[in-house]
Amino acid sequence: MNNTVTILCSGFGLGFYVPGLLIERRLIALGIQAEIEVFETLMPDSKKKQTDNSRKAYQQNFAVALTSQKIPADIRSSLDAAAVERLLQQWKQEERQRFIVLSGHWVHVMDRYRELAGFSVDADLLYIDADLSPSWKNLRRLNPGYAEGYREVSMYDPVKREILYSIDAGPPEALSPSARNGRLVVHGGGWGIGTFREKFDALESAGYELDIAAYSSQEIGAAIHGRRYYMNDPEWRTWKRDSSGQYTFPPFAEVTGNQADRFPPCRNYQDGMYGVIRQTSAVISKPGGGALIDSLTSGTPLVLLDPFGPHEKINSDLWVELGYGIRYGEWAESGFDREKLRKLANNLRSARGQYPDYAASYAEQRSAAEGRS
Amino acid sequence: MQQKVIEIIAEIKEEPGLLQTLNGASDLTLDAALDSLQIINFILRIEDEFDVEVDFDTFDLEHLKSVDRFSDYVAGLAVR
Repeated sequence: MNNTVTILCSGFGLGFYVPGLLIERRLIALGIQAEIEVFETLMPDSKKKQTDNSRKAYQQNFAVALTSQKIPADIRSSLDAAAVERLLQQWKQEERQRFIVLSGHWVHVMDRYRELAGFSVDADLLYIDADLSPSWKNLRRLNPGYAEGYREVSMYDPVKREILYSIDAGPPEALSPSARNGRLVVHGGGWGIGTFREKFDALESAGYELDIAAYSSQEIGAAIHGRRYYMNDPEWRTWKRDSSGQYTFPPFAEVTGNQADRFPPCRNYQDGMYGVIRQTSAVISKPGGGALIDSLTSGTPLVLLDPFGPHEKINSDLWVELGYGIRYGEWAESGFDREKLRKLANNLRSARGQYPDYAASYAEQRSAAEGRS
Repeated sequence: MQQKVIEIIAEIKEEPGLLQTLNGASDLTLDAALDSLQIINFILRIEDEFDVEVDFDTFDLEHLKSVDRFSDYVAGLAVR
């Protein structure tokens, strides 16, 4: 049997892609063969184009993004049946039996694979958010018993207000609050959505210098008030492998808008926006699953903007209750108090190492299971 | 309500001809050919026009099978 762990990501948002890459790297470092697959590779080009169009519309209008979550969808109608069949036959031939699933979309494919494989298939359904995100909610609507035969793994327990697992972004260690540069990162997640663009002026009036995520060259403004702009290569797509056939972190650079921007490959997570985040005093962002992971692993507090749907509202509540984040409105009322950020950073620092790393736990369980067999 | 729903579809599609061709039995995705982004903008306009809020737990793709079914769904939201 094939011992490779296949990690099934989605490129819909970076929050269902980057954690998969981090888990893959950690498993490999622990001596376990692991590989990524991205759901969008199973979609015809016309559907991928539709995904691109949706991203642009969501960036331009947050109300459109929020409304998208009210409309149920059956992702099976977006699948290229021939591409699915090719992948399933490849997996069967390679006798793949270990999977980690980050998006509910993949469960339709996994169900078919379990019928086809002819041998036992072990799959974790890993919930990156504190509540079901749209892919899982749509799946549950189509099949309320979808989790039967899988192992469900939640990163968070919002009822007990607990973090059950962390995802390690690797070295270096989190910086202490006094070693940071005092700046703030302002971003809109992988897709650049939410209310972050409205906050620049108020934050700068309060005396903060900003590291701003841009999502197109039109968003790169002048370097006034100490502003710096950063951007992932806008031509990069999660479903495209690099020249060596690997999935990668998005190519990333500081951008000025004065010259043609070049985006070098981002070989390590800290070579991208995460490397900027870990040096700053806080991140101002919607409360996506990826933002929580970055916050916890880098020890950087989150100033929480409006959530993108009910699941991000639960993320937001959890981070506030744990003392790792503060709602933007509350922080604004305090006069954007630096001391509040320092306390949150200290809470995160105290929690360092307290939460088990998912990949390490997975590796331990595998090792224990193989020892018994 | 049916006529207003058809007007909003024609507005979203930017096709005034739909005012003549669509009726209560028209399918919103097949006959009106609303794509996924247009459906989102259509729902936003409907929420605004009728002062209702569409909800994931009550809305079903079946409601898009005809203008009449969709109108009944919106009317049900309005009386809550």
